[in-house]
Amino acid sequence: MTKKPLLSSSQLVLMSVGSAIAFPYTFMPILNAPPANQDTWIVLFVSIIYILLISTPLLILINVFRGFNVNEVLETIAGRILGKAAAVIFSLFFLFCFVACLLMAVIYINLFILPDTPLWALLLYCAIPISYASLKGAGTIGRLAFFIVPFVILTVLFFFLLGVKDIDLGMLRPVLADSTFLEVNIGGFYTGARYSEILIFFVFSYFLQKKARVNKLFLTAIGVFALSFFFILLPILTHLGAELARHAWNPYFIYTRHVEGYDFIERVQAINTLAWFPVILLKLIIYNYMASYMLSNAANAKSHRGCVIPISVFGSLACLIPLLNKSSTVELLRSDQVFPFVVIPVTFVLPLLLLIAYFFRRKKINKIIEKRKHIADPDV
Amino acid sequence: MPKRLFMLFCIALVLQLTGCWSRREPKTLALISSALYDLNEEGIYSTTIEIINPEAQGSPQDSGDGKSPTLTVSGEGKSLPEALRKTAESLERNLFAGQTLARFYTERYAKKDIVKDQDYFLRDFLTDEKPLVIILRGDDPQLLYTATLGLSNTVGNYIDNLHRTQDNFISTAVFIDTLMFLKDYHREGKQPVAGVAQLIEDDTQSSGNESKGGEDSGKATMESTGREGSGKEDKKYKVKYEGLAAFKDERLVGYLDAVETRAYKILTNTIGNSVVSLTDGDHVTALHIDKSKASLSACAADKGKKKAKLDVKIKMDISVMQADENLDVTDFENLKALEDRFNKQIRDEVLRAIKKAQTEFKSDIFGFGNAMHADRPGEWKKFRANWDESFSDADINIRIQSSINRSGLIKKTIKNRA
Repeated sequence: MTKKPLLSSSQLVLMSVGSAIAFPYTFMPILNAPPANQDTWIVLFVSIIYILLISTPLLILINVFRGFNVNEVLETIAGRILGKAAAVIFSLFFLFCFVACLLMAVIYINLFILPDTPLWALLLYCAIPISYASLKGAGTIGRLAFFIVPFVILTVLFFFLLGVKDIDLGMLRPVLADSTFLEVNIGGFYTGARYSEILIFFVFSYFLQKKARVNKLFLTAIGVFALSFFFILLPILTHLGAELARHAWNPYFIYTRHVEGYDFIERVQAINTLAWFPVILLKLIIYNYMASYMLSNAANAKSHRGCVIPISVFGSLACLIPLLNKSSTVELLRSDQVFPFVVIPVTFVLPLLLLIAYFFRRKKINKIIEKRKHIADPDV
Repeated sequence: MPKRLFMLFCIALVLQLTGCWSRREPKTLALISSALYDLNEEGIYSTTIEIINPEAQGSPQDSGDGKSPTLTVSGEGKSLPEALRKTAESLERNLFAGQTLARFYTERYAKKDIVKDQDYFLRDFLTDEKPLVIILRGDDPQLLYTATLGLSNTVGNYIDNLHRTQDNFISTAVFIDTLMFLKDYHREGKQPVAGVAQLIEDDTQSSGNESKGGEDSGKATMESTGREGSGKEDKKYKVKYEGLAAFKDERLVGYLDAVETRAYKILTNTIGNSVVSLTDGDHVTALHIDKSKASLSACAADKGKKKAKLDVKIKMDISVMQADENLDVTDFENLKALEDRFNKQIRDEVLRAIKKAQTEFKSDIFGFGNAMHADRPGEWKKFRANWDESFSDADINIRIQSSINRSGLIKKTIKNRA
């Protein structure tokens, strides 16, 4: 039997940050969320509160069931059949995220970088590294995150610092005059509801070193994500303006196209692409792995490996469907009409139901947990 | 076996070095340096693009090899993209707009609507929002590509070099890129402006591009456009880049001259260095604007009424560049008097610019509405729908405070003898 890979605290935090930052780096749904004006930066901070609220049920479950893998958690709370059903729901969600993210990635590449390259070639070049890293498992993904995500954060800081001279804070005025309390909260909710990275903690905390504290790691991940997001959002709002930025497919790319400095730094948008591609691959790898892991557990398979390539192939084939391979489809998928309402049932509703079930059955479940701890460590 | 597979994989990787489907060899590209867009009365777009000839760049034009550093080609179409593609009909290279430095629009085109066509520049893969937006004044815009260009080889480079060197040095022209133009278009309470170029007769004896556009310049496509018949072969033209084109929403509504443009730059805090000459009969004193900070505000003149009041506060640090013979710059009283004269002159210039925008353009190009939106969002809601009308009728209050902090390397004027 192969040894369970171990993830360090920083690896898990960076995996979560990398996966979360990939979308703001690619597009800015927050710009179109209400109130869709200069107050968008406030919406970002309000969304953090919603992220914390939405993630709370799952965070409680992760803490209670430290040392259990996802399937064990689900089956311990909901029983064998309902647990398997819940696992299938999670799997389908991960599969949806994988396909949607792959679709956005290839259409983005097609629009901005390689317009003449056929879709199958783009998919092939995405699917091979995704499958390889996903096959290698959690340890490899953690190490990848450790290399990729700091680089991405560095590029965000680089673009921010070089653009500081052009920041016109007047573009953020008036503050909260054109927005209502309700609009800011709706925007905060839509933005917060997109955040599904708590599921990364749910799946990968099983591989986490025992001494690590999940709550602290989660808060760190949220903090790093919020700051990085802010450093992406602020130059966009102050340089492009909220109204013009809303028209763009990728306003951050447009901003980076205008970053210049010291008479020799110009046309540095290549660095944006250089950081974007690995981070979007990392996100895809994580979702591929989580979908494979959940499916294999639901099917009682020994390893997730059997599901990795079929999922990559399925995702690639789905992207080749003419109906899906359209800018308008991606626009709909990433809009506030679809994405938050797909994420919320999985990140909040289902975990809340599981948490309620846990409280009803907590005596019995606690015994199982105690027994499990005793087996793991007889001195306890 | 795994080693062999790994070796095969490594060999396969080499195949990727040939490039992707979207690869473009530099030798097959026609790099666009600048473009001139026109729209005639029938709604037909005409595009003239200036293409860089890398093979001739850096070589003397009269070297006898017959190669010009640029080539201009034209095309027409019912839409801007079509007109642009038509230019490539007789061109053996792929158009590449990623290096375009300036986009010129004719006056008649700008008077119709240039914003709707910006959609193409932002939507297309190879075009972007970096080139400068310039309105070309005059009846014969095609002369642009025959004009002498100082030390530059292409019109695009000439404008770009002006931007880099003159923007902060003279401050009598604006350099607005497409992004800034569109940002102002979308901004509440601020109308967009653009740069202005004009072709004037060149009386200078020599320039780096004297032969440009002449019979030996190799601009076959330009010659074939039939402009020889215009009777202007003997005249030389140069580009005068000065002033500002004011827009109301998407249409050109008028121009500010050099002095008014300086006032615009003072009001929008975009002025760099500038020299202001104060004349008093034959006596001239030149002052240099070191630092300028303008605060604009707008509010309702009366409660409940639609009339607005514009308030301008300008604070400037200036220095003496040249003192006239009667001026003792070591004397505080003299400096105070000089500051007052300076304030009055700047006040008159600023007032002239605002009045022109109010009466002639009826367009708030300075951003007073934006200031009201930021400072008094409640009041702005009342004015928002008809701001330009309110702006046109608004009262103006201007306060200028300047301070002469430096007077150069000498004390009393050099003309004074003991």
